[in-house]
Amino acid sequence: MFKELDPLLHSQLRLQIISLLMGVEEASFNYLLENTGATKGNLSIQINKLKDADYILVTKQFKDNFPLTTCKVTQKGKKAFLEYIDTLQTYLKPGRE
Amino acid sequence: MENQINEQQSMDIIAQMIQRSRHRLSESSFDLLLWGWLAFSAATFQYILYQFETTVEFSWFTWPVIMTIGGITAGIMGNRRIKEKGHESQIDFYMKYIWLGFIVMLFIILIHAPKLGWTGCYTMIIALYGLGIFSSGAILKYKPMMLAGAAAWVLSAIGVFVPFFHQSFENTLLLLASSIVVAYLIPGYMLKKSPDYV
Repeated sequence: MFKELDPLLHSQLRLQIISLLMGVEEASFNYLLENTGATKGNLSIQINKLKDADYILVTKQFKDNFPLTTCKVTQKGKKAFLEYIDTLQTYLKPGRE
Repeated sequence: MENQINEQQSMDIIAQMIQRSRHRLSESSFDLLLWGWLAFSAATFQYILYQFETTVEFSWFTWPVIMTIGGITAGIMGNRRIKEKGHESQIDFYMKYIWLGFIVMLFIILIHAPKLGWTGCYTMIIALYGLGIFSSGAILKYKPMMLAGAAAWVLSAIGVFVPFFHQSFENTLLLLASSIVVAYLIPGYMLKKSPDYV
């Protein structure tokens, strides 16, 4: 019996966001926009979903008079991502379970 | 809008995104070269000023002047780089704290220097930046940099045990300048040319 994949992470854009954030300490909204190829609106929506689940921390500030939004993955987000990969591996290599 | 993905696509997305956030080794060469050239200039100018009776007393002044210029430049350039990149990598994060620790320890040594003697303290500083370079090399998984850090420790030991150096402050200055070439400048230029990622 396969464990269910975390529905919050099992979506293309949210998985892109969290995978990018796993590799860095923190990243700006523009960095995520460039590397995911998403639209601003869709990216904002998906970031908010991850934020509401406490998977990421979003900080809004002003730098040189321009708004700067930065995102950082939380401990809960890291744990969820690692569990997601473990579960994913059981789907791809069923013998592991 | 949510795109449905299968398990294999998930794995591909993860691999692709992790690949994008990898740190290019050459990115780390700027600070190494900046501080390397500044410290080398400060040590060399101090050595030159030390040769003349009229300037010997103020020869140490090269350090605060050149290092202040370096601090301001590194701060401005560092901020600009992070802004351009749009993210702070984990490598940047760990490096920041290693070198912050280096600065704190450097000040502790400098505070004690008048009491302990400048020759010995300069030798300790060589060992201290050996630690900074060695740890940075380990974080970057870049062996030439780790070897450069270890070479600074060897040069520091030479400064302690060889009378030609520990009995003469000006010879210690030459040792300091050459250790900067070995520990900062050589690995700095090697990193700059490196096409690898970590």
